[in-house]
Amino acid sequence: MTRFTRRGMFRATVAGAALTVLSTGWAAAQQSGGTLDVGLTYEIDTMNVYSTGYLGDAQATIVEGLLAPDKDANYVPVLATEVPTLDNGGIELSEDGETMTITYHLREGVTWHDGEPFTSADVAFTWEAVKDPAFIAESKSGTETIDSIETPDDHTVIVHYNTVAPDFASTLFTFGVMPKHVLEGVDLNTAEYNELPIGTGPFMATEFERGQYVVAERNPDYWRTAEDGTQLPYLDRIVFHIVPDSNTVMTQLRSGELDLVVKTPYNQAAQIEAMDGLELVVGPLLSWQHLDFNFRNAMLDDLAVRQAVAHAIDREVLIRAQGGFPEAIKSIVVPVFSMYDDTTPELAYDVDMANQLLDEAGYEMGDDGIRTKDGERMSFEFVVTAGNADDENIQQILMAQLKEIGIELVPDNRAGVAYREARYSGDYDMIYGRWITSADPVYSVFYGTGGANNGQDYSDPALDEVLATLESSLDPEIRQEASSTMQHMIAEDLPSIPLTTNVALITKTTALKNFVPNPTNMTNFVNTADWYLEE
Amino acid sequence: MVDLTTETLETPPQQSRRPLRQMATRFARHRLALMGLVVLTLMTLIVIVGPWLSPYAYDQQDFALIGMPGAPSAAHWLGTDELGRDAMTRLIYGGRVSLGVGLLGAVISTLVGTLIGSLAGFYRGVWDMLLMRFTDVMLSIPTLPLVLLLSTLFRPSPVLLVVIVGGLIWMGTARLVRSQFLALREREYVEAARALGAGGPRLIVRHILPNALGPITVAATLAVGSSIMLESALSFLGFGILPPVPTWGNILNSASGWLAIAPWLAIPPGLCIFFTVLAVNFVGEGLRDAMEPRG
Amino acid sequence: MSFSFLIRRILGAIPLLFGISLVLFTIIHLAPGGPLDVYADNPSVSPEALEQIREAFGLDRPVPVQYVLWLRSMLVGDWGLSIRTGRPVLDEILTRLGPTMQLGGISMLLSFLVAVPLGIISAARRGSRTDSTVTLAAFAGISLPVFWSALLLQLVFSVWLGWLPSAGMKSIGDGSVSDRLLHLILPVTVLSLATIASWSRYIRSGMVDVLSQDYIRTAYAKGRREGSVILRHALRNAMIPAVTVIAIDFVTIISGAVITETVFAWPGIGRLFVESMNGRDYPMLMGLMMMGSVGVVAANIIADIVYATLDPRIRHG
Repeated sequence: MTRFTRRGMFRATVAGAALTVLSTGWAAAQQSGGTLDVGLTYEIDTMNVYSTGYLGDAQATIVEGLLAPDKDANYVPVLATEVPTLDNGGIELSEDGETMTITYHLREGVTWHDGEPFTSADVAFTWEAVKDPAFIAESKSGTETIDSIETPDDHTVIVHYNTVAPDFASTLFTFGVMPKHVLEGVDLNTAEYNELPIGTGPFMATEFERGQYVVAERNPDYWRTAEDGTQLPYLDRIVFHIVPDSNTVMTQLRSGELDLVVKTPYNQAAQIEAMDGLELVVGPLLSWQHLDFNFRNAMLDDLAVRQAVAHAIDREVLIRAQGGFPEAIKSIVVPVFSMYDDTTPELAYDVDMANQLLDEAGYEMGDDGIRTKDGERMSFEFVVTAGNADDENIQQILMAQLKEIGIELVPDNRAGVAYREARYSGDYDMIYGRWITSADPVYSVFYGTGGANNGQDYSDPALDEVLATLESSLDPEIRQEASSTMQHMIAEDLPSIPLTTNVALITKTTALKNFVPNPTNMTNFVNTADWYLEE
Repeated sequence: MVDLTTETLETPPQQSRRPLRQMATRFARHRLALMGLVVLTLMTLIVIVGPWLSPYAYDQQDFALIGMPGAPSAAHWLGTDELGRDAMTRLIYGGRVSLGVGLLGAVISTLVGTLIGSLAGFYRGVWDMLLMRFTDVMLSIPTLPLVLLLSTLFRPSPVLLVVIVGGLIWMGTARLVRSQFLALREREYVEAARALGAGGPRLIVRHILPNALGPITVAATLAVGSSIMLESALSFLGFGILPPVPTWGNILNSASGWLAIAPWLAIPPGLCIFFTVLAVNFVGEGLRDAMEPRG
Repeated sequence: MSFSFLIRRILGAIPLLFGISLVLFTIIHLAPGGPLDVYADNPSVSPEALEQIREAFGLDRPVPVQYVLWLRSMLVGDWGLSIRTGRPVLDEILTRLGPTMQLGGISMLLSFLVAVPLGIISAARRGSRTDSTVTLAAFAGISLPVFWSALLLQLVFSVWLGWLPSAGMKSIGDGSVSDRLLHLILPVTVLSLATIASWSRYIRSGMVDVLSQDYIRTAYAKGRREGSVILRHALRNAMIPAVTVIAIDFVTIISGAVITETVFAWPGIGRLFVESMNGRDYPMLMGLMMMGSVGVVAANIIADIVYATLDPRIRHG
């Protein structure tokens, strides 16, 4: 018991410390120099931010976009001079209110790593290149809503949209801008750029050894300086080591071979408090963990069953199995968002209620402890990511909890691509996983009829209308109301049971300062220019 | 009514009662082999009886203990895992699965190997050529990667997993059986049986095979070790039998994450695999020595 | 050993390789879903793009045609493009082959250097306490699960003692020989344990057989010293049965690297294999399996050659 309390306190202190550093600006003197060794638990397939299946950590130190989300998930300007809004005239609605035009003013004096100037032509080129059907991108979102781009001068970009896209900042130009002078006429699927991209960021890609590491060296001509006039970035070098085995990662942290790991498995985090020179930073994430039903299964199409499942789950146990770090949630909108509606109804843990619901709906308890209806057993194929210890633990707890109400879950776990494929194509009865979103998430891809990530085959025309309103309006009040309606509708019809938040557990050396966890899918590495190592 | 002549004839030259007793004596003198046999017998007894004696079920979670491995105590002799399950119960039940996979895998590999080897060795010619080329092909494909590939492509159930494991380690047995058959089929008693009109299958099953049983037994014993190892490696890499069903490999897989703070979870399954395979190898060696005395 | 023996041996391997390719091709195509499944989860790949890829990979043709096409391109060294990285399969494999060969080669060498003396001592002192100890240790080595010993060694030498790096091939910015050697110690030890154990057994039994031969007794009778008898007369013949095992084990070491490389974050083909499995990178998996099988076949040929060289009694027309 003492263990938990101690960790709880520890967590609070670290989080508090991180926030203090931020709010007071740079209190201590910063030191330039040093190499930061970062451990990545996944394989980097390509360094091109548009082709990678992982939202690039290493890439974010090298390639910049026009905007980026900050620690509170608000967009701040990077290569643009300000975030376009209706108020500052950056966003203009057409007279019929059906389309919009966005104007970006670009920062002057920015150069690519090869010395060429960064201009509006690069921005326009990025859109054309990503949109090109021949280019096999992991994400093309944001390209299809743009009709055309004008570049009246080197530092102005006017983007004409064919619709109103409130989420414009969350994709295309935020992911990164590509250099036209390097990539024009080059096949992006095989370009050398995918190995060593040329960007405008604080670090330059100098070495990429597949399966081993990526070296990002300090960009001496980076456009930013600190408040005291020091040329940024402080660090000389960031090395991203690829260490896919989570045990090895922990071993290397302990032996001092790694300084920073942004994705510590929940079940390993408990060990970090015992290590000298290391600390655990708990950062919020725009991400939640949930249990989804497949509506192709007739039993799961029955609302009573879904409600019973929801009542049978004790989230407190799930949280404890994950080191006590995540929090229980009841809405698919994570509480850190302003759109979160606290009045969303909650189906509390209540096994009796769950049993009663199933009894009333005609599911009779069989001799083997599993219920049946019309001769069919309540047995479901349950998919989680194979090899992910956290998820497999949650799976086993859910299996135990649902067994209490006479539902059998049969594990059918898949790894990597196979998991994603099962998830998108609906090859499961129930699936557990997490979504991580941008600062302005589009929920229709998950719950809209035919949504790209809707493998559940869930369809509710009424919800589709609400989602359409939410995703096509720029009026904060209308959006808030639509979001509330959406949260209530989903909590009532339960296509998905939101279980817990997903937090970022970052392990870092205590010497690393100015590290700020970033809650969005844009990674913690968007502000590496400010990081420094204390002797 | 069995033909008396055949009865006499099929009494194999090496299997009269005396050599059998001699073999038993030689095996018993092999101290390590005897120890191995004792260890295996004990293990088998424990994994068969153990789960009934344990007050816990292998997937029974103590919700109050979830979150951290628990240290060994009077209630939980080997501690609890991070899901509040009794590690001892899981280890024993995991042994049931691991030993089961090992035994069945060995049975399958021995059956397949014996079938292919005897057909090739008995019929020779085209059959021999085709079957042995196929054996060569299977021998040339690296086993562990092939098992991994098959198990990721087909996501096998435990039963299919056993088939895959057994289906990939039969080649040694096949070669061995074939060479035995090539030698035995020329023996006089086989010739005599053939002259008396015994057909192919009868010759194979009743006359030649009993005489090749010795080496086959040795190979089968060693195959138990190979399949236990293969299954553990597969489960350790996360491609084997899915939790919550425990096997020594997947217990080790999840315990390895807690190695630094709860070594009592990771050490026992590793030791179990080690001692079981060691015992199997000792028994195999003892059998080999007993059947082919050297020097 | 003659040149024509070599040629015949190599020609004899061709039907074997043909069979291997057929088996591998069948397995991959029997698997549920096809090679393009990997794109199924990617909403941004349009149906047109998918069609383009299908044509580019020849997946719209009948299966036998696909096999012939695949075989033809395999033969000319065009092993296709990795689905995961878009780079040529052969390039990717060759990049990763180096570290694996390094690890495997050093483990082989170490195993050889340790196993031969162990086997000889064990055989020469048959029945002695040394012999039983070596025998026992050898059995232990064979029965030790690699993944477990790897974990324990990491725990002891990197975590508790802090003497050795736990993983990786070298420290960044430090490519020095000593740094690389330090990184090699743990994985090489783990890989060598089992081979040392099994080879010392083979060499022991070869030696025991040879030592009971008449010519050795004659040598002893002539008053030769034991060391000289063993090294001059016995070793060469005792090595013969071990040769095949050693050659084949090189490939076993490399396929066993799937585990070792994962635990020690070694950037070789074992890791590439596991990554490709998670990414369902069929062209890459095919390439790797094919490469491994060619390795086995080649090892067998080499074993035959060494065998023939060592054993003067074997003369191949």
